[in-house]
Amino acid sequence: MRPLVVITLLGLSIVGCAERPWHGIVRSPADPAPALILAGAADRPVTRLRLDSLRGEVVVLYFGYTHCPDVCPTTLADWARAKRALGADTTGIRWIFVSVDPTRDLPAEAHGYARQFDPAFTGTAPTDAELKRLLTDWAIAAYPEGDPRTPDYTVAHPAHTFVVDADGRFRLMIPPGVRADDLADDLRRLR
Amino acid sequence: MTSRTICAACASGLLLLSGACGGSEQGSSQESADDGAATVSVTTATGLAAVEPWARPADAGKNTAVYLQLENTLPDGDSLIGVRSEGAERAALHESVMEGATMRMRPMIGVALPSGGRIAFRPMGPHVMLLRLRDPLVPGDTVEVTFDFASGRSLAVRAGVRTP
Repeated sequence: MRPLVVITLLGLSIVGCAERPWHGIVRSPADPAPALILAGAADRPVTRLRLDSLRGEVVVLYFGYTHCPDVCPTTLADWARAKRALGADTTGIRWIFVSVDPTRDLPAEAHGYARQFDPAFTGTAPTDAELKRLLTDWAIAAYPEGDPRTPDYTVAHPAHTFVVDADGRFRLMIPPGVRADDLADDLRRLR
Repeated sequence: MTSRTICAACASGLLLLSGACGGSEQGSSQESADDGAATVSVTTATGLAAVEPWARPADAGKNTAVYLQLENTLPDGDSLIGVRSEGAERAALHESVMEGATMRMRPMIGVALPSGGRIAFRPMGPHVMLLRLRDPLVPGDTVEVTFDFASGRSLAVRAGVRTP
């Protein structure tokens, strides 16, 4: 075989082996996901959440708030579309909305909000103390803007959807605006 | 103010208006790309036009967003200086902005609308925020918002509520 042909075939085989790119941002190294434990308090009937109890499932996470008029509902509507794109078999994937607005959102309210987009979605809300801890553990920012003593403050919150794989590793960050079909494609590969 | 609300089915100008904005969508989500077929009314008044207004469903007491495109077909420019709605305790012009990895909203004040220009309110961008809805908005409802301009003109728009 002539050398040029060999080199060409070698090149094609390398291209053929290249991994298909992900649509989300791949975290490298994919460290174990930080802890996320919401146990609530006596005055806050809770949708309890322990992320480490969900090993074996891909967990799709978003940190938002139920008074969010634009970005959160756009994201959750995109989730719902991605879930539909995955077809009838959506086992192995958990979709969890976590409020970062404990002043206004009780866990049950966050849960009802998430379920408006798809009945399979789960929502919950931390206590103040739990929120403080999860912001530190996940190295994310969320804070009220405007006067939180008034009803019309807004909340700055993480922009990305976070994806934890079935082994509990924090694998992907999905930027806002990623198409629902592309989110579904990434999740299909992780499941 | 004279204003007319025209159903899409009978608005002869709708196709032209819709066509004019076909290339302008910078929607960051698939959702905005899907907007085209659905909504439903165009309101015109003294050279201002609202194209494809729609609102998200939301519970009473919560906030929601209205999206549309505003066009100015007059020879003079104008500025959008406010918005109001009977459907909510308060209405405001806001813009979602991503700063680093954090999503924030900031108020928009005095948005310029030059002659022949257009403002696109779209998901994950500029939007009309309705705060503390008086009644729940469910698909099939409509909600009216009125835009106020520096020239003294106003534009009333009725947005259909729908699940994107």
